Amino acid sequence: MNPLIRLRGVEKRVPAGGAYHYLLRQVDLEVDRGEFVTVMGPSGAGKSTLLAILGLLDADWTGEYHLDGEAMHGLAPKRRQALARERIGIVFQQYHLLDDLTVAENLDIPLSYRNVKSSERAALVADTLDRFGIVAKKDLYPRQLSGGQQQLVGVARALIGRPAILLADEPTGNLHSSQAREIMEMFRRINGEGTTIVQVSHSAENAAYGNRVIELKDGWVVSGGVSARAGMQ
Amino acid sequence: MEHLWQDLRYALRTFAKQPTFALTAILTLALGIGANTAIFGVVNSVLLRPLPFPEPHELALLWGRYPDFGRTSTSAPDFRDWREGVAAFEHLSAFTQGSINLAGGGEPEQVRGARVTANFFQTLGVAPALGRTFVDGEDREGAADVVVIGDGLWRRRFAADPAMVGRTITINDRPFTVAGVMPPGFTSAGEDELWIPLDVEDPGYPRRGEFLTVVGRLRPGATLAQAQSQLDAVVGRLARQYPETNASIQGEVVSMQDDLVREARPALLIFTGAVALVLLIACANVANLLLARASARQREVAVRLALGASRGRLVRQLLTESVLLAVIGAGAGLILAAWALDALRASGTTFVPRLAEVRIDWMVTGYALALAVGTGILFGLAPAVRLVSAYGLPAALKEGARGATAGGLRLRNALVLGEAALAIVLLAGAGLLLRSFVRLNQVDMGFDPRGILTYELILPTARYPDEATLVPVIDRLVERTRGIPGVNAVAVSSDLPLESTNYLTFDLEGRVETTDGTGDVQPFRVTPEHFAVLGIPLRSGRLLAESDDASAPAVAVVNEELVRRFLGGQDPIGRRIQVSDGADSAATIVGVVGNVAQEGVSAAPYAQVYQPMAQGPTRGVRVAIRTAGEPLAIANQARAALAAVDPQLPLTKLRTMEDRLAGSLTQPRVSMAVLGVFALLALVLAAIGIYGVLSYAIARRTREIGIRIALGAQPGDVRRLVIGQGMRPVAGGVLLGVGGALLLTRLMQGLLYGVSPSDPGTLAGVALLLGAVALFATWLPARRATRVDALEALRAE
Repeated sequence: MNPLIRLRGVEKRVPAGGAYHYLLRQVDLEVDRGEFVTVMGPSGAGKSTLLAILGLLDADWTGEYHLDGEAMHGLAPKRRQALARERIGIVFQQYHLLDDLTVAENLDIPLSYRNVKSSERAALVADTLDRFGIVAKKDLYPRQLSGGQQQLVGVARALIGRPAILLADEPTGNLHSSQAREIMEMFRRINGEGTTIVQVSHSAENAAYGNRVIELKDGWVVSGGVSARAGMQ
Repeated sequence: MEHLWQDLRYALRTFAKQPTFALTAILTLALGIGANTAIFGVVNSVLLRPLPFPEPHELALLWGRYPDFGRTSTSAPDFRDWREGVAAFEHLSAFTQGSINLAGGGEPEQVRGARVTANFFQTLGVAPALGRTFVDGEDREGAADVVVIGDGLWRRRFAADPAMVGRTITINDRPFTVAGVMPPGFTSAGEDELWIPLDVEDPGYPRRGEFLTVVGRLRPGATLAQAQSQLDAVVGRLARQYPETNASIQGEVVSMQDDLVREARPALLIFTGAVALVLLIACANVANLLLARASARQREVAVRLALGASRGRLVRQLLTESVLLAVIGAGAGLILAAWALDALRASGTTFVPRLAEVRIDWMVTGYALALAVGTGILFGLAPAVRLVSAYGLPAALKEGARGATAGGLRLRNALVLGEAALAIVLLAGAGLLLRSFVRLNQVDMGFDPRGILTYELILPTARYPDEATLVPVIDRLVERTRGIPGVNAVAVSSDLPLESTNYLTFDLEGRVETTDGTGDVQPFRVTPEHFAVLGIPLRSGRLLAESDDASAPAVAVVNEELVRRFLGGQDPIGRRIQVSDGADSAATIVGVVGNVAQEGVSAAPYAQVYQPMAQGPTRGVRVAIRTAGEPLAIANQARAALAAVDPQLPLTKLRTMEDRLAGSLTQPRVSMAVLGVFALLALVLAAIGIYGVLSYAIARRTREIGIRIALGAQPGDVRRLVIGQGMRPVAGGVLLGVGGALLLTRLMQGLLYGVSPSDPGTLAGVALLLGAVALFATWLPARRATRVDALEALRAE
């Protein structure tokens, strides 16, 4: 069976003082369905860059990227965005909730961009509020929530469209440890329900919730680029 | 004072650092203040500055008035009775204006002149620069022929001859002795250049031959109201004494200044309102610019506050900047205003009186400066107060240049809403004038103005003393002109369409008495081809013919309106009509023609009578030539034809009939053009305002848009979001503006023709226009928003 994500020779560079600075170098990577992978490495190693490429937010790179067998390299922007909408949910370190919208409205946004019918959307939002235990908060604005609650909404928003992959960039970076644990427990549960998770984290504790660690340094994959199953073959 | 200098220096440095901001603001203000200054320049000269006569408030004009027809000149017998009966006036004089043939001292020419009673200059209170004016009795039968000339004529034609007084010049072929020269700038109504005495004492003048304009000077202490009541008493007495001629005539006393600006005042007041709206829009735009800049200046203000500046001191500094911007804008605006006034003068419009006196003087400059200070405070205060009060000191220092608050955006949206509303009002005004103008151009005037060359001519008494000499010279002129290649037909008439004409009473066989309006007709003397040249259609009977000459029975052609009004639609052919123009006998009606617009394109049809020139020639004549090609192409041949008939006759107002028509549409055209320019300005300024607010809003929302894109928003979603945000205040403004337009355009009623002030088509049209322009203004920032790089936007956090 094909891996869900497969990167071959992916490189990312940015111009710097007449030459180029490489953010990622020759990245080979595979993630299978149902895995919970943590990308680790020091600051500037290229973790967030890798996540942006995986999340199809960044199209300016070279190499090959197959998502569920489909080539993402050289894909038309429209198709790429459509795939991102359908398959991928993203959780940000800064939550990135929209300040002027209530919790329920924040959850509704990704659905509104997926042309889901409004009756269906209301049902999905209600379900998700329920599933994440935030029904009581549905009419509050982000500034009325604690950091942990905001990130809970951020995760709920990333998952409401039932993506195959959840990408999380330092999801607990701004949270107290107890709040961080809650989010990680939540990730474990989601992963158990079948969602593939790739998270970027500095924390070994967080990494322990996953089944594999990929280590980056100066843009190179140092270890863990290929799953255990793939490694055995 | 030291603070002021410091603030000014700092302000100039700030402008130099942000030249785009400063230039945009200054240009916007220059347009707004310039438009206001130009209109004030006109209003100041025309409505506010007193007439150039001593004690101008004592001067008044006296008019007759028919209840249904309006004001009219006065007959000599009525004038004499008024003079006796209205004691409130110290002097009461009369004059009549016209063209005068002038010879001696160069080529013969026609000039504007007036025949005046001897006390005319005394009434106005103006002394001559050289010699004297008229003395008592000089306007009586048998007195020597004397003339007073104007400064312009004296310089132009007589090279400012210091020995002018006593010289003899030839007027209408008679020698006149120059009695005096008036000072520069003196003119009676119109552009009169010479004045000769007028005898109003002749008992032969009929009661209803109205040709005099009456001007009076009140006794010290007397009021217009007293004069009016005395005139009412005289007019009432005349009505009883002469019921046949004076029963329906009333009298009216109007201050001379008010009378002069009677027609221009409504338009000028509307222009004043319009430029005020333009300035408000300009202020809203600059306020928007300042608000946008305010968010970038939060840190500066916070630091200043931290260093101990009081909030009042900071507001003063910020206001100094905005007033300085406005003053620089006013300087540029004065230049724009001077250009605009040059353009207005060059347009040759006559509906604004005293246009030649309009200039940028100290009064106008002071107005512009006062306006600058006022607008500087108006558009600067809200942003300044918001800047120094909205942000808590520590937060501002910590957050540095973070975006402004939602409150700032609300204020800016309110400004956009206001701009849109004001622009709609102006556009509606301009749109209504445009529709009126189109309607006026579509009016069936009853004749075809295309392909006709016209000119005017006076046949002086000295060379053509009677009908026996007048008729042949007109015949020769027609014949000679008809011989020019490319000429299809030639007519000589007493009046052409679209010029003011005489109104005479008349007798008509089988006349039905009417109650609406007066019982007058517009009488014309014409040569037979008049109808062919002007394309006036024959409705029944026949037109005038060459055979209807002096020896033939008197005949007349009447128009449909006369038949409708005075004969109740009965067949007029064969009936006898006699117009009280001194003709000996009644004429037989031989034909009916269509109605022709006479007093103006939009005037209601009036009863008209055409009689053969050969049976009663006039001295002042118009020559109309229908040509196969471009009329002006034969102008020189037309001159030559006249010179061949009589080289002494000066020809004036040589132009095409279409030019005459354009002249009679000057007032609506100028009104439309002026208001159109202002409306266009408003539209452009409003578009810039909407664009500015939205660009700013997009910059503020980059992060939000980035998140939305990261969450799957497509370009269409982002565009809809941004355009929706931009168009909401515009839509509110359009609604408000339509409401405002419905209230305000009613004031324009008098300037409109054939269109209602609340015309739904116009309102819908301008709403759509503004909507389309606003949509374009929002589309640019919207397009930019779709290009937000989600990654960049999220990282910037």
